[in-house]
Amino acid sequence: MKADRVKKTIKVTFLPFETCVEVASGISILEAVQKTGLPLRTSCGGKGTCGDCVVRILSGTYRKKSSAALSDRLVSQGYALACQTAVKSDLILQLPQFQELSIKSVVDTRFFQKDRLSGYYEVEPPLRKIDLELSAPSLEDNTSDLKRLERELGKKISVGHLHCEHSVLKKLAYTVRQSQREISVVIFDSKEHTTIIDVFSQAEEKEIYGIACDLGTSTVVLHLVDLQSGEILSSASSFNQQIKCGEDIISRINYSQKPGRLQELHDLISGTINHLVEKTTATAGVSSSEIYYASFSGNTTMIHLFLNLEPRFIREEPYVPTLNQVPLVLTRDVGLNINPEARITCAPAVGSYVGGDITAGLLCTPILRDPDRNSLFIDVGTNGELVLGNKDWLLTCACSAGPAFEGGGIKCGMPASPGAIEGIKIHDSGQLEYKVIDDAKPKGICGSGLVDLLAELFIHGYIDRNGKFDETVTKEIVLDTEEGKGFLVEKAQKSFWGKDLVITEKDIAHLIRSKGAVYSACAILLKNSGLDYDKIDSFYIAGGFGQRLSIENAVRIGLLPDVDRQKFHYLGNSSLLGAYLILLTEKNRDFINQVADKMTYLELNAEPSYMNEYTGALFLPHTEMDFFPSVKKLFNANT
Amino acid sequence: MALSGLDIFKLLPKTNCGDCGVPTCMAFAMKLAQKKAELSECPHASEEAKATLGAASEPPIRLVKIGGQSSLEVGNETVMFRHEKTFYHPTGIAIELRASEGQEKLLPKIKEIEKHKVERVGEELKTDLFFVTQDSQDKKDFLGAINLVKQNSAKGIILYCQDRATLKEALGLLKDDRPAIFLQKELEDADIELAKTNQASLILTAESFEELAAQTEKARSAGLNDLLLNLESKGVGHHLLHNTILRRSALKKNFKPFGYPLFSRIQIKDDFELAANASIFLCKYDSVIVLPRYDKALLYALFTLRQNIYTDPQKPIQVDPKVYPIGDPTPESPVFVTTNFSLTYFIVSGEIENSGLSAHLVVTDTEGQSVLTAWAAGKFVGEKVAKFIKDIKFEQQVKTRKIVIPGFASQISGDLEEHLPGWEVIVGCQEASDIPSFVKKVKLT
Amino acid sequence: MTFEIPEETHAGKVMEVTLGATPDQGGTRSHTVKIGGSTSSPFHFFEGEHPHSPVVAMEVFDQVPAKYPDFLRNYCRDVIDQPAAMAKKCVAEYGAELISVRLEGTHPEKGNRSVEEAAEIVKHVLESVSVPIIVTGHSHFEKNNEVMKKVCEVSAGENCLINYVETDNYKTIAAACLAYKHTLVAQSPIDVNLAKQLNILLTEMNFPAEKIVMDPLTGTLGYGLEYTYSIMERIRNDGLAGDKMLAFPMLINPGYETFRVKETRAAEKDYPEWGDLEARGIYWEISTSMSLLVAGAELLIMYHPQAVDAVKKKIKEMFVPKKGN
Repeated sequence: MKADRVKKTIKVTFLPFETCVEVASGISILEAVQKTGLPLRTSCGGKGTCGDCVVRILSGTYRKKSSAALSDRLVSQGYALACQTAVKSDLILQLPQFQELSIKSVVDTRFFQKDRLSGYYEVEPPLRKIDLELSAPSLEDNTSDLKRLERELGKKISVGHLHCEHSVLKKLAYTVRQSQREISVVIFDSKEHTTIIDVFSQAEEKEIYGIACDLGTSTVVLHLVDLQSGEILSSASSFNQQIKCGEDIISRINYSQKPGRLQELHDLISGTINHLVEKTTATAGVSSSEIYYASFSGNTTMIHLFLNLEPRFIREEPYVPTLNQVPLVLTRDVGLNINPEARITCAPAVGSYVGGDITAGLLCTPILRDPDRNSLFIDVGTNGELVLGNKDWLLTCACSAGPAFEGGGIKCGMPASPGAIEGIKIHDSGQLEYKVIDDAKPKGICGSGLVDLLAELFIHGYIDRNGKFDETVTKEIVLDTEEGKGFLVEKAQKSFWGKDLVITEKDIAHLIRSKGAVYSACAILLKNSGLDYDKIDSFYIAGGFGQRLSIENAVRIGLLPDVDRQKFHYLGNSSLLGAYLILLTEKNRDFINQVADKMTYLELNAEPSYMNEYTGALFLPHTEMDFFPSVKKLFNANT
Repeated sequence: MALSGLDIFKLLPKTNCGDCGVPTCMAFAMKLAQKKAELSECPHASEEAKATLGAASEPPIRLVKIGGQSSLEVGNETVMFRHEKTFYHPTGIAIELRASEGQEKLLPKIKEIEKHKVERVGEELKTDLFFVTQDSQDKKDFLGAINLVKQNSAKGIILYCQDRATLKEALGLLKDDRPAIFLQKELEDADIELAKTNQASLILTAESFEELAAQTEKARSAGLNDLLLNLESKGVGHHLLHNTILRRSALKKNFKPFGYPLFSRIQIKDDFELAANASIFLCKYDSVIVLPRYDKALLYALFTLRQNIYTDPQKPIQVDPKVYPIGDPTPESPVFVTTNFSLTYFIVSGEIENSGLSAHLVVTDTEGQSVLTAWAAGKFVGEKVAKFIKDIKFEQQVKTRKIVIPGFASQISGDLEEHLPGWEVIVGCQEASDIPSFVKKVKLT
Repeated sequence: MTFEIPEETHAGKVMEVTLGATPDQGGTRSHTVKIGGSTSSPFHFFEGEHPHSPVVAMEVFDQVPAKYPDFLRNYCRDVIDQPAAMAKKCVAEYGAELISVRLEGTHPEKGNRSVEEAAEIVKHVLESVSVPIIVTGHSHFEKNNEVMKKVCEVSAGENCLINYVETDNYKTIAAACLAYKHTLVAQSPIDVNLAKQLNILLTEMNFPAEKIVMDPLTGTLGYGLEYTYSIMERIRNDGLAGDKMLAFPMLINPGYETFRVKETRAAEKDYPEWGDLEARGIYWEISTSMSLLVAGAELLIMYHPQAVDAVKKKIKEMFVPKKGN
């Protein structure tokens, strides 16, 4: 800032995004946050009563007007209300809702066990490290370095068309000589040719690693993988730093439409990935330059932003993306801090609204191999995506489910991370019991907890089938909140933030809309194929619910169809798993590219009966109770 | 039995070659199942597929054309209830002209009817046919009336004349005009011959189902297929039942003798009873109705009903993009904006009205999508809303410079302010039902 | 040529609903009006039973709507501000089979008349006519609930048709209807599922099915009729196919809906191609009524006496309880 400026500006930095903003002294932290566009909710409009806008101040001086809505314990730990706190010096703040995610809660390692992956699990990556001892040159044999390398390589493997990267050629002369001709080459096989992408002295004892990464709209999860053994060495996850540019993909596409903004979004996602690469390599004790191969899965918009491609036409009718199948891309094109010659692959998309996260997810199921049995794959996220079919045909569609089952848009909702209530049971006595991730004090409720809660409220008659509270239920349980009637899950004293954990009628309406969107999309897929639920042998459920999704309760609220529970298989984060499988062998990559090509995308907006199916599903469990015989039985027994 | 997408898929080559214009065989199969494509679009279809899918493609109700250049097409309907698919060919409305009125009286009437049209929801609504009745002693009156219509109107003609010789002469005046002949007596071979040689369609009249079937069979076997059916009824109740039974026989029982469009000539003195009958006939299956007189007010109601009934119920219903006054707004009244999905419009306008407020409701063109869908698809964004407001010169009509946008489209507020300089954008509530409380809390002007 | 009439039989039956109560039933009406009971599509006498003919009600007001056209006022200028007298006139002179008392003036934004005033008006109307009555409220939940509770109480036993409840506000009024033995209109916005959901909610709170009349919220001609017509047909078809939660008689409001749109209010001099204003209004109400009658409406609340006359004649003409021709 200019020296002659009288009024001092103050720099406020927000973690974990490291977003900075310069503001005048004396304004509230909330105003500073709003300047950055970071998502920080307030229900009371900055009056200091709702306690939503809590931040943690890590350093700097500030003036507090009030912290009435926070407990003493929190205040002593540096928490403050953004709307009630004025900045006085440079500040570093943490937005607690975006604290680092616990990888344990994001990735369920159960699903990475080899026996669960039979059929697709095979460690045969296109990337290999080969040790070579080159013959010594002499005046008689003054064959070039490269030719001698090729000669030795030819003895170890069959080489058709051999390419060599220029960067390898540049250092070949000295590497050969300094290593006493005991070198290792890293080669990458593709269908057409083999390319040498690195060379180094055997004495350096370098290994080859890969990363598998799920580029989610809100969270990014990454595995560091030993490409020789296929073993996952370490994992990490974090919020997608693009969140500050908009919470959903449409907002981000919107954001990208100003000059420089696409680059900014691209830099943010690369930055997020690089951060995770740093973390995982540090944990595993490897160098990021040893990462030669990276496999990504993500929705079509995320992949476009990652590759720095124009996302605009994904959103506009007739919804045509720049690409669905991504050719191999180079590191330097996407700005990752891994080996500059590393190859990058992305799971193919089917269309604008069915992306690589879905095709990757399909690899985690037997759908693609089964000729006779029909399966339905359901990924519940902000966009719900569904795939129906078998080896011969696959029908897919996407519905706008909203973020409710990921905890978004729900007053006390949160992602499945420590402090989230992941399971709830209401006993016949009216007593409520819940389970918190990491057994911490509850901060909020994640998707699986919300499914449980909705099912329990419904089955026990606290709400009617339209999701409205019964007026006759006692006022101690059903409160009048600022946002209408709400059910008290936990009292303020016992919750982490020191405020009541309440689910309101509005929250319930959101959840019902979400589950209705998914169920009605299922109905449309079935209708178009001419199949009934009883003709479907397996249901694969993916999504960010958290690990304790109760299938039973998901059926009770009408999210999933009322069929034999044995047919359901919960997959967790199947997108990441698919990216991992693609990393391990080129066969999976080829295969999924072929599969994506023959998938048939159904546009729900063009489907005249979707609206009717949808309004039918906006009821607990559904307007047609007969679609849910087991729920009907239970409901009739209770009322 | 209709085949499902999957049934049809099994008959296709499963190569996903894309030669049919859609990406996969499954996509093509689904289009075939919905009758949005023809099997011939697949160059690789097997004989088995052709045999299986080709059957039963003949329309159960014949398409009949009346008139020359701007001919009316009726028939080809496939459902009893419009929600099952849609009604395809709107009922033709004819006005009856009587030869005995004399050419002096008829000429201005023809000219006025020819000129008469009403615009509604972007569609031009008008009558389709003249029904010319020979009720004079002198055949010159009849022929003169026909000449008048021919010279002054592009509409098709239905002829009603008991005398076959005169009729023949009249038909001679209407070469290439594909007239229809209203036959109110037992069908004879000569009638068939007359219709065939003059490319006219025949409207057959009978008093019972059996008699009607016998007549159509006779015409069909003589190779005359351009027929309309007129089953005489004792009142509007019987008429409704007749039409239901005729249509059901054709569609559900594939009863060929009744596979033709239905016709009704209404002769009622009382204006209001006439309106009632015509309304029912429009809804329940008449493809051509004849009104005994020209009445603009009646026609406007019937045009509107016809437009409603023959709108494709599967298309999102849209309202005209424009500014709708709620209550009695002044240039200082608040301004709201929303999309042109009709349900959105009805609910939003209803709630604003419910709040007791007078306001301007700007409805932009989102091709009938609701707020969230239109926003997601880029049809309800700052730039487009601003352009619409400028294009309709709304800024010149109001002094207000605040505009309320739907809560679900809060993200367009910055963009809208940028494209609409001088305006303040207020983010409204998400649910329309919150409008009455919202307008109390927020200063809107 | 032999021909067999293709009859279709249905598993379901429209619920029979009784409106009003005579002295021996606990009320003071001279007779009751029954609707419903059909076992086939509207007026399809050749393939089902239709024990009751559709009926036409007319409407009186606690406060005359601002848009009430002048040509309509001409028919009751002397009594328009006296709901009880107007009710009497509608029954005696214009043949109304029921009377709807619209209490829109109690809406806080539209007059904010008191609960007591509203109850008085209903009482007076009940005294002045002997036909069953409908009491029509508005969408301001809190006020409407208070008004309807009171109305139910002061007309206890009369089996009025309380018009209306909706999904987000049904319990209070339904409970009052239950307590004071009235029948209820379940109104839902132009959607088969939403209509069904409300009926389910009502029956799940043990509201008797034979006390429910549905209002699928139909507009007038040119104002969403392309929707409402088919929604009514679907409701009726599903009800006849055996869906009990859709098998209730349906009410429509052609009068209220027709005489507030531009097409029945704009002068001929401004729109010469639209024709005469009053005739246009009557045609509009008739066309709306007739089309929705064949779609399944059984209780019509109408405004224009000439439209009422024509529609009643036609209902009689269509009510031909014998087979074929």
